[in-house]
Order: sequence, then structure tokens, then C-alpha cells
Amino acid sequence: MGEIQHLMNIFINAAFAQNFVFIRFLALCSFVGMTTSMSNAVGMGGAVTFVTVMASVISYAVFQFILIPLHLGYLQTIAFILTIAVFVQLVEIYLKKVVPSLYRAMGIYLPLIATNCMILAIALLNVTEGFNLLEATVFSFGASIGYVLALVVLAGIRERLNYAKIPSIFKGYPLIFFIAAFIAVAFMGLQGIAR
Amino acid sequence: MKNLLEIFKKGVFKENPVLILMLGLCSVLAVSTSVVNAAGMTLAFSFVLIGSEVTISLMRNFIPKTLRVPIFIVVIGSFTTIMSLLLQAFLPDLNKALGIFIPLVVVNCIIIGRIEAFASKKSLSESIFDALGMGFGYGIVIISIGAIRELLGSGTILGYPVFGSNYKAALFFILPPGAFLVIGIEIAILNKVLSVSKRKREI
Amino acid sequence: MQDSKEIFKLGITLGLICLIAGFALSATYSFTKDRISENQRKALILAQKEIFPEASEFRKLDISEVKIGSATIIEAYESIGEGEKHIGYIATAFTPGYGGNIVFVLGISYDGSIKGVKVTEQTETPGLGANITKPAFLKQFAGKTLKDEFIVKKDIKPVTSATISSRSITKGVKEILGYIIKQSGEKNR
Repeated sequence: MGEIQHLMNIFINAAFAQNFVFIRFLALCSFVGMTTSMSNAVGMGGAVTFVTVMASVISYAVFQFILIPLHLGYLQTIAFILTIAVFVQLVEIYLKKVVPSLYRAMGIYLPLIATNCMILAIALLNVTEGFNLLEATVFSFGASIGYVLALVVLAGIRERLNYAKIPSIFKGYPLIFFIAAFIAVAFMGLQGIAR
Repeated sequence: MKNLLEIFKKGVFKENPVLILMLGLCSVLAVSTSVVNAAGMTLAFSFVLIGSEVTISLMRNFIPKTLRVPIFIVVIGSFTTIMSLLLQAFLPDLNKALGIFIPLVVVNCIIIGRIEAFASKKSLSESIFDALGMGFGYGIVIISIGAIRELLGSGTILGYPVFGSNYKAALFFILPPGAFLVIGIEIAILNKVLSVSKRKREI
Repeated sequence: MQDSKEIFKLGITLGLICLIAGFALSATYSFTKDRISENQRKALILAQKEIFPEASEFRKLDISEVKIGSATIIEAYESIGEGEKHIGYIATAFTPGYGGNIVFVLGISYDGSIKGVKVTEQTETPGLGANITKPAFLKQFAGKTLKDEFIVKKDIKPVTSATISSRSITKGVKEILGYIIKQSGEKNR
């Protein structure tokens, strides 16, 4: 029971208490750019979740089986980003050939995902937090869920903003950031729920 | 020379990487809790940006199209790692303050964006001025946000208390919501300034 | 045939670039690595000396990273004073706080009482929980032994509006204190 509770803790921490968008300030480019519609948000969220969890596991393996034995720990940044980029490329090639419909749906998001700072951050955090493979997987999944939540919330609000009257000086990005500020306040209230 | 200065100016104003192009937001919001941190981040970022743009520009005629992405990653990643090692060795306090955002420079959209759109196609001198302009533009934004957040959120500037040591500052600005609020205001102001100057030119 | 020649050329180009990058990276690494480990050593000694200014040496104890309750002990040293005098122990540990892990250094005098506590890393709320780093809060731990309760709002006054952060560090200190005393008791047997 203790083990499951420990993993739940990691999950809740990653998704809510230390939400990667509103508390850790990661993945902001896609947060701002991919929330113009709910379908974009969900699509990006799903793609990121898949890439994050897989890339997390692979980076972890790279770290444990290649970097550590060769005393190349200082190359983790470059090794992880190469791993992520290669993985995204492979996914793109695979989808294009095998599941072209899914490729058409996910295709536009994939190149953007490689530069998503959240994915690299998670790979690095798995190392610095000293997670084992299971903890790392739960952590990356939790973080992704928190990311999807952030995107979906903002996309929902932005879709409704289309019907609102907004002063021209605030139209567009300024208003989005003000909204993000309020959501961030809400998420700060969630801090401390995981022990 | 005029062309080079134009390139520099664009990086600071009309194509400001943060406020106009909406790139590099993560580091700007996360590290802008004080002026010192913001300045340090600017230096770290500029080092990688300038180094990468220069290297890619020098190599631009030798990069096969299919190898573009891996080569960009290797170059940017190498500069990021070198910068990280130098910081750990010579500025360990800054390294601790910037934390995970040092290695994250490698995925900073500004660097990849400028390399893809500019350095891989333009001459060395143009790339240098683009990097300087973008770095300067980035620095202005992150340091100004840092100054506002530090002043209003901790009551200090560069660590020196401005309002007396018993002053209770508005913590809000040091916390995540404050970051979003301040950048939102800065974008609004810049938009207004640009639209006013645009209308003036139309008259 | 043209295809394989192309691939060969691509491979050579990429390999060459990686070689140059690898060279630059390993050169920077060897140039900086001594300085980096020196910095880490200095930071640790600084924290240790702050708690045991009278110590002339800190001898590393052979303990592995182990979780005690909610806290995890990373490493421990024995504080040695002038003339091989055993002054006490000093341990580095971390415990989960409100916003993340709190890394702290705990100094224990040889008689089993706390010499001092220093918080070296934390990501608590700035202005609130982050004040657990302040001496005004931490000095409460000095002199406490396992006979004390270590209960916030009873024998430990919490940081204003930061009960959870205060509770976290208090619990962590108690757990590590218990562990060190137990281990040293077993050693003396």
C-alpha cells in the first residue's frame, strides 16, 4: 500500500501541486500557441503525453546504460535532446507509413513537440530527483496530464473569449496572460496536497 | 553597416523574440524573480545564441539539407553544455539560481528559430548582429520584468532594500501569477506603442 | 550506387561535426571538472563549519542513502575537533516540503543534542515557507534531544502562515536525529 501511495503522491505532485505550466513555467510556447481551439489543445495534449512518457523512459535507459557507465553524466542535456528529437522523428516516419490518418491528425504537432521544453525538463528531472524507472514513468505521465489540463482549460476559455468585447490594448496575448495569472493562483492553492 | 544596424534593431523592437514572436517564454517568466537572475540568464542565453548563430552561419554552405536538424541540435546542445559547465565552475551561485533553465536553453525556441530562419541562410556579420539584437531584445524584456517583480515582490533592487527593511512587499509578484501578469502588461504596452507609431506613420 | 555514396557523405559530415563537438565538450569538461568538484566541496564545508565552527576536520562516515520515515539521509560526517576529540556528527538529508524537497544539514553534539540546523535548498513559497531558512526559526532546534516532542505549535513555533513547511522540516530533523543517534549507539556497542 505504501508503494502505491508513494506513486500516487508523485502523480498528484506532477499533475497538480507542481503543475508544469502554471507553477514550473514550462511548455509555455505551446500553451499560448496551441489553445486557439479545443481540438488543437486536445490533439497537442495527446501527442505530448505520448512523446513525453516514451521519451522519458528511453532517456532514462540512455542515462542508466550509456551515460553512467561511461562517466559521461555531463552530456545528459545533449544526449536527452538528441534522444527526444530522434524519437519524434521516428514516430513521424512510422505514423506517415503505417497510420496515415493519425499522421494527418498529429502531423503538425510533432515537429513542435521536439522543442517542447517540458519534455526535456522531465527527462532531466527524472535524473536529479533520483527516480527509478517506475517512478519516472508515473512522474512523466502525471506531468503530461497536468499539461493537458492546462491546455484544455485555456482553450475552453479562449473559445468563449471570441464572443466577448475586449479593449484593443488587451486583445490577444495580454489577456491570455492575465487569464493564466488567475489560473496560476488557483493552482497555487493545490500546492501541498501531496506529501 | 546600415543593414546590420537594422537587423540589430529588429531583434530589439519590431521582432522582439519574447513580446512579439512569443518565443522563449518559459525562461523569461521563471527566472525573472530578480534583476541579478534575469541578467545572468541573459548572459547564459546570449552566449549560446551568439555561439550557435556564428557556428551555423560559418558552416551554412556545408550543411546537407537532410542533416539540418541533427546538426543544429548538436551545435546548440554543445554550446549549452559548455555554458553550463563554465557556470558550474565559475559562477556556482548563479548556476543554482537558474537551476533547470540552464540546460533548457538548448530547447529555447528563440535559438532554434533564429538558426533555422536566419543564420543558416545569412552571412556571418548579419548573423552576429541578429544574435546580438535578439539577445539584447530578450535581455530587455527579462530584466525589466525582473526589475518590476523584484521591486514590487521583494521590495529590493539588486538585493538592496528600497523601502526599508520592515516593508512587507506584495509577494504576489514573486509568485507564478505575478509573472504572468507582468508580462501580459508589458505585451499590452508594447502593442499600444507599436500601433500608435504605426498610425503616426500612416498619417 | 549514387544513393549509398550520398549516405556515406552524410555520415561523414555528421560524424565530423560530432567529433568536433565531442572534442570541444570533453575539453571544456576536463578544464572545469576540478573546479566544479572543488566548489561542491567548499559549499559543503561552509555549511558544516557554520554549525561546528570549532571542528578542525569532518570525517565522512560510510552510510548509504536511506529513507527514514519521510526524510532521506544522503551522507554523514563525524566532526573532529582539536586533538582527535569527537565533537559530534553532521548529516545532510532531504525531506518533502510544501513545494518540493527541503535539503538540510543537521549537526548533532556528542551528547545527543542538536548543535544546529541549516537549510541549504528549498522550493517553498517565497516570503512564507521559504522563511524556514531564517536563523530566527532554525535556532529553535538547537539543544533539542530525542526527549523533545518536535511538534509544531507545541515546542516549535512555526513560521507565520507556513505551518506545512515548518512541520516538514521539523519532522525531517526529528527523523534524522533519531537515525544518527541509533546508528552511533550501535557503533559504540
